[in-house]
Amino acid sequence: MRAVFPAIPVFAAVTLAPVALMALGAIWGGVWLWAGFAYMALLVAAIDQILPHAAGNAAEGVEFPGSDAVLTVIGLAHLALVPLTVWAVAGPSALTGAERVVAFLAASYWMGQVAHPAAHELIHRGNRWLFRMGVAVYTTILFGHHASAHRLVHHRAVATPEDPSSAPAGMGFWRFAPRAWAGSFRAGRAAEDALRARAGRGGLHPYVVYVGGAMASLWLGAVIAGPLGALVWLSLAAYAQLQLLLADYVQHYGLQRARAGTRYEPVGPRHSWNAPQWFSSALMLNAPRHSDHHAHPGRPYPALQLGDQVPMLPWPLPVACVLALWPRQWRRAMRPHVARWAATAPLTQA
Amino acid sequence: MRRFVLTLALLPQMLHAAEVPLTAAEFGAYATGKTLTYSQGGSVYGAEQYLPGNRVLWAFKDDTCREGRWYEKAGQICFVYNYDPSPQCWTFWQGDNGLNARFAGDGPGTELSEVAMSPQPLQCAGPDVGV
Repeated sequence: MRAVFPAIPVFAAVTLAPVALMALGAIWGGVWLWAGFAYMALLVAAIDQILPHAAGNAAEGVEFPGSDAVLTVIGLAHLALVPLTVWAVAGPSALTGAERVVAFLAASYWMGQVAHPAAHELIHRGNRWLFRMGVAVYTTILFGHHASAHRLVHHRAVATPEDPSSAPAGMGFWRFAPRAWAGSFRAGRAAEDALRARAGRGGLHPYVVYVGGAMASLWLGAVIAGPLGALVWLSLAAYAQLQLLLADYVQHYGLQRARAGTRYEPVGPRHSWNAPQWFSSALMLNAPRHSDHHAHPGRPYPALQLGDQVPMLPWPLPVACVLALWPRQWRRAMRPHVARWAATAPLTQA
Repeated sequence: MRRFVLTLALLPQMLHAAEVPLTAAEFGAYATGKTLTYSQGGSVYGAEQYLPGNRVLWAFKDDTCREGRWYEKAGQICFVYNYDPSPQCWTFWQGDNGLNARFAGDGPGTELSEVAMSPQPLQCAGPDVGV
């Protein structure tokens, strides 16, 4: 028999413990800061190595009280952590030069590995305030348009050439990244325009919020620590964006939906890469259970299932993302896995 | 003094005197050939069919069936499945109304208890076909 875990308290503890370390570290530096950095940079990979277990699948239809509360707390923690880190790195904090570097790295790892998955969950929520919290997180990493492009473009066009955030086999990450950034910005805006034209209503265009919010973020950085503060905010955001783009790159690399005439086969479990390791899965709020997310975009993260017959990455997701930085090695290591799923006939409807 | 320490050390076991862990032989003799349904906190949790040769078929409530097998390790009964080969170990003991099980590392209050026993095979929902 199988145990059901992680429970909501595990998600909360795993995702929020490093924030506490980093917040203490921003003020006092020293051991707190290094602990926060070690947690994000080393501990996650180490635990995935030592305990590579998959957590159980929650039973269908079970409620998860508190799961949205965890997301909200992560969102609020992010909105506090970014200015705090800008102050600690570029402002009149007591940190030494080396400590400032460590504070920068730890915070951007957390923003990329925890805040992004939480914001991703939030933009899939029907509740207006939860959705707005997700938009706020993406806007402060200067990537607000993800809230539009991910839902309106990526989910519809995933694993086809029409999705700028799905990487075809053979495309290296550094070629993918600018294409995905600009492509998702444009495609997301076109989708929002179309939505507004169809609904026939005006109101504030979401892209005004995204761009205006990004400018306000940089302005806040400048208020905290002058031009250097704005530059540090920009750099933190860029590093978080890099991780977001890496995750998008890895999670659909080389997987293609078959084309039948002008249409593509329906999105299935075989169009996303998954990873089972429970610790990085808890840290990333089950984002590595990616096939199920695409099958059920509204399903809350504790309920996401790890299927039997899904493409499985040969490494934990964070390790795969690091490897993708070296396109030649990445392509070579992934080639047999991609070939296996390309060779499998599409699932026929039973 | 030594006796006092010994008593203190054994106290937890004495309080849980009813929870005598089943050995692999006892567990196999009881479960093999049956499908047991477990509940946790009053609601059905899942069911498992125990086949000859330590093979099992497990399903969370309303979930797909998972093939696996069990073995004994350090006095516990451990399970591995094709979909997830990492072992999970449980302590089983015989309660008033059939088996009880507790996941390794879990405290009291989380145990599963047998609520139904059947010689029939596990009813398997169809696999989750892609959308």
